[in-house]
Amino acid sequence: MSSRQEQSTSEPPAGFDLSALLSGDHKAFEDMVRGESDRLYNVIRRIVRDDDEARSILQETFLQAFKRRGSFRRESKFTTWLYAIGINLARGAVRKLSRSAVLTAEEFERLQPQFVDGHVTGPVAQWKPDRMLERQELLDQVREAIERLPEDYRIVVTLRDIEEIPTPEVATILGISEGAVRVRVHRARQALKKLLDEYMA
Amino acid sequence: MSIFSRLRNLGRRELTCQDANTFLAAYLDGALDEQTSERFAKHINRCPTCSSYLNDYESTVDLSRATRVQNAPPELVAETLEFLRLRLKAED
Ligand SMILES: [Zn+2]
Repeated sequence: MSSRQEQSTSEPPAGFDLSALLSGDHKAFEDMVRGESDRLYNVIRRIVRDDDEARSILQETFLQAFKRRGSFRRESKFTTWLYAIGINLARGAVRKLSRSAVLTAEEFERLQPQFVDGHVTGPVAQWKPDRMLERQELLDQVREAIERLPEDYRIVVTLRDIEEIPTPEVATILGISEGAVRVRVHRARQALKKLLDEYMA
Repeated sequence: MSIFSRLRNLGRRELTCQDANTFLAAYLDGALDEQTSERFAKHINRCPTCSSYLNDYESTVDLSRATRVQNAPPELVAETLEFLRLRLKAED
């Protein structure tokens, strides 16, 4: 195991001089690129679902961040601002790519539990604990299920559950309220759970 | 029941399964206020359906987390820096 795996997930390495970067220093900028590339790449790749596209959006994200550094207001972390740029670019690009496997809004809705008079209707599957043990195959199923989530839900699961970015920061990145982040991530988790029922129950 | 006593009871009545479901994400975030948190726990302790659902819901979050990849392409940083140097030079 490399030491990178133990790295704190919510706080990526802050190994760059922000003031120097903001005044246009190339070395500070490159330090930031070194520290942020891998994680941001993985986030973007989950949105666009294509390695080459993710690579080129990552490059464009850094380029735009450097050019637009004058508009960074220090109201958030620099990386929060950077992620907002990356995610916006990724969303623009994803429209050009095929999304045949992605669930339609109706299909997604059908995966949510239904309630009548406060009680859930229909059977609720219960997962078998021993299914958790077949790790590799299971994780492939989970990856596939995440890929099928509609874009907004895939993004919020990537940021909140996979990258473990705290809810308030996800709210800032996406420009929505914390309550809206929770509603979205909740619906995404419920859909994922339902998609995995077949495998887990 | 009068409208007033109904309103008074609204804040104290037992949570339904649907109420409990609505609070799941806030619960995992530790964002429920003390009173709601107590009512939520009370419902979960009494309701096998919701308690099992919460369990699998948490497993779902754990599973998503476990799909996190660390393996960005090894040449990613070098390639990105190369691109940026060229572009920034061109614009100087
Ligand atoms: Zn219940």
